Amino acid sequence: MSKKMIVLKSSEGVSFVVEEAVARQSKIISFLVEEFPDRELPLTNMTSEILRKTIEYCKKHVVEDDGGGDSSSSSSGDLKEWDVKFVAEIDQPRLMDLLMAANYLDIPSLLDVTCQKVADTIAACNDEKEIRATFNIENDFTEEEVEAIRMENQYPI
Amino acid sequence: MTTNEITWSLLPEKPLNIISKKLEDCFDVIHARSVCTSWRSILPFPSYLSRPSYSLPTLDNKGSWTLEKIPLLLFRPRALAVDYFLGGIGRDEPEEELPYPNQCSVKVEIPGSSDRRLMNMKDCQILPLGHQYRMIGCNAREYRNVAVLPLNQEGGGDFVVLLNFTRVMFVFRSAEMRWRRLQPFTDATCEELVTFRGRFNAIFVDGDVFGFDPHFLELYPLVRLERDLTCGSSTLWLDVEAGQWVVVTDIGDRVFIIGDLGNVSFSAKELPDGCGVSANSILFTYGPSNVTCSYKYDDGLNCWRFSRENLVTILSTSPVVALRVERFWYGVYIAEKKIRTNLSVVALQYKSLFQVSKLSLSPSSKMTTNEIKLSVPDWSLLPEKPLNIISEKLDDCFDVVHARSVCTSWRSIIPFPSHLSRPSYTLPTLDNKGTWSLEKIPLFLFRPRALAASEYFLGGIRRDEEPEEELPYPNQCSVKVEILGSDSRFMNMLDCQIFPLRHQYRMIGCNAKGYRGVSVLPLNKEGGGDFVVLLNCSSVLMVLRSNEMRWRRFQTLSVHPCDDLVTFRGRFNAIFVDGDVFGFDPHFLELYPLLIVSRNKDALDLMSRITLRVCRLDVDAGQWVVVKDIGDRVLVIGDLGNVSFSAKEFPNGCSVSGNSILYTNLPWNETYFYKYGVDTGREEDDLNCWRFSRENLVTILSTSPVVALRVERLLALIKSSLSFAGIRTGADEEKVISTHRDKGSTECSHVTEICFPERKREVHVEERGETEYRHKKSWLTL
Repeated sequence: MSKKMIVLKSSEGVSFVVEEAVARQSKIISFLVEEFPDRELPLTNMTSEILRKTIEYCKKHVVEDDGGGDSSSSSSGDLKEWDVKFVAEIDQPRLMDLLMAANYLDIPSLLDVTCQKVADTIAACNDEKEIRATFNIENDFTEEEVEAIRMENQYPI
Repeated sequence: MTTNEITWSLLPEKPLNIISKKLEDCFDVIHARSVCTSWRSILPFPSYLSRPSYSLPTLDNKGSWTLEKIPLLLFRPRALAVDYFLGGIGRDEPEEELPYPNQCSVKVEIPGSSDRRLMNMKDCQILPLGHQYRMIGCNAREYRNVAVLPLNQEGGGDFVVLLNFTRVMFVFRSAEMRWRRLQPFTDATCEELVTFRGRFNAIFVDGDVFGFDPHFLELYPLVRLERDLTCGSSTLWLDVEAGQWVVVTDIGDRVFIIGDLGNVSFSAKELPDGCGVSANSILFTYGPSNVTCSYKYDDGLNCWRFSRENLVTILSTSPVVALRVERFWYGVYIAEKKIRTNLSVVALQYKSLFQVSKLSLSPSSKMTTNEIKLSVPDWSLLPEKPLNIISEKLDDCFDVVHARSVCTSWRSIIPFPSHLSRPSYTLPTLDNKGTWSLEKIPLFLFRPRALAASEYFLGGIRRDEEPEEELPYPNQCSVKVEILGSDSRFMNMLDCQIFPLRHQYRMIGCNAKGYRGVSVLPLNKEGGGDFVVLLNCSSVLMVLRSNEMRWRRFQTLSVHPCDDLVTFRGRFNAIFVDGDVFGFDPHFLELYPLLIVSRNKDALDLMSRITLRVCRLDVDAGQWVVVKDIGDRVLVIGDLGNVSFSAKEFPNGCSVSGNSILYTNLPWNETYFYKYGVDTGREEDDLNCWRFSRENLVTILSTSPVVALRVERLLALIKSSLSFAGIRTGADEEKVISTHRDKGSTECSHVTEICFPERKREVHVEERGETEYRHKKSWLTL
């Protein structure tokens, strides 16, 4: 029996053909597939690059149901290692896009690993200025608020 | 003209009052009131816009919250045709420059858009929706909502406030001005509080509903509706009289808007045709997606489903819910005129409508395309869910503090780490004439990474007394460590390895005779609400209940002084110097002290001079059990409180190993870890006990307010011992020599290379072992 394929289309209009089981890790796609079978699904808020990355992740994490119950395509230890390598290769701007894609498509495990990388990045920064610089966030506090924060951050022991 | 104006301003009271009643729009009344002093004095401020507020105490009675009754409004800018805004009238910062200085304008803040929008109220259609109560300043995570009912039907006078803290509910009467915890009646979390026909109704997530009469609040939850398993996806109507949920298929011309801001309904008839809103529909605004659709009843399927008539874009949910409603065909039309890719956005959104999808790439769907093209993403716009996941993944609470300092959006979403909070309570003194402050202090162990020799600091985070002090790391978390005899040192928290240990209660300012410690237990398991404080004054125990706020003397339980108070499994345990242990239930404190363990002569007498017997109290069996192994834990016992941590968490070579015990309150400042079964090389020595292990030398640099330790491997010490010895003061050396007696020469053959002063110190340690006899039965809390 041939596997059912579905078509996902990126914002540039590039089509990606993926196995349904792979794409179904996204709760949104899973839902859409049921609601609108045999249609290509446009994901206009995702670039081809991000979509390709997301599919790559989903392919690795697909749980195949081949009659013999659930069996992951890789052992959980390997998978974890692969995840670490996967997020390590992503640069910071792409990370945001990937995180947003995971959030949008509702892929909990991908959201988890991307959030983990952000948490690690924050933990690696020495202060909030560094965090701002890393994530290119503008300091939008007023002077009074900055003062309040400064007070909050002192911990006499 | 001039005469006319004067005449109009002198309009008598009666006609002005009639006019004001005829002004349907409350903002017109506001404008009229702004015309001249005479009009202002006569025209009443529209009651609908008034925002009364009450100051209520916090749960712990230490601060105050503000209960505000906020008018909710739905308004639609006439010019835009499709945008709706739903929000409460907030208090404004008055100094701000307004584009319409004397007109009513509404400031709409939409997160992510560059500036706030000011909308002139005159250009809007406004529908008053009702009032909502909000507890301003209540920032507890558990806080869900609040409901208020007056005790008399006319309103005014006393009122009752019901506060939903998810798992617990608190009730407040204005006559009493204090919070009481409501009896729990279900395990489920409370989802919503609704007032209906003068009664509170608490709706729980499992579908149960309890009704309360505000007059008899603490007594009986009156109605209980059993969970209805069929209530899954349908809309149900609560029929209070029949005591059951009734399925509703038609809500008339009403439109329900359900969301975080509160649930409101309005009549669709009041909106002009073509505004995109139709009657008998329900809209959820708190779905993770910002594109949604109204629910409508589908007769064919007998349920409420997304209707594809209109596309609703949620532009903002806080502080104002902003919606854009577009007829679907209209959306397609617009999209075709725009970039081609936008067409599919609309089409996709249309298709995914009834799934709680999460399109949050940008706050407005219009910006989606632009956002993607910009290669620099705006991390400050990270949505709430990922940010919450990230903050949970930050192990170190000081990293959370830094992340909170990045920008306002992050700060508003990431909660302040609970471990760093330091609640305090004001309690009366024993004679009721003054006050003490009971503080719950988080204890930390931290180790500066940079220092080669392992130094450890153990202390509680406290409030700083001199806030004006200049700090070396202004915006970073830093720790001020005061070591007696030297200047206070600042250490950047990020250069340290930090372990949160536990909380400790301290009675700040307590000068009671014989004060040794304090112990606190909440009266309900969730914490919050009432609590019981037990104060150990050696020969007497004093007890205070937060609802009485006075100290009572506790039954004398033992002729011996009390050594320590420990809480364990919701009970107080008082350990007396003779080894007796009494347990008390905080609920029946004055009644029954339970004798858990009576004096065990053997256990005490077996304690030799230089060895340690570690016992664990087996509460169930009522006896002390000798412990040989505490796993990978390190116990630190001292004045600051007894704490334990896992040695595994330290990198190798930090000179701390598991299954060891350290006393920091010994009268000398150099010591060792106790370990089990240390081979002393002497045959007569028993191996089955805890004694000093000579692996590492521990120097206690300070014991108050911070316990500072330096731990050195003894091998390294051999090399550095000369310079190390030089640091010690002369007085110290003298003391060491004076206590040097005969046993010295037989100690530990494997350290014979150690230079003379070091060996003397070892002897010194051994000699003093006997004097510290009472610590040998110190409490073990793992």
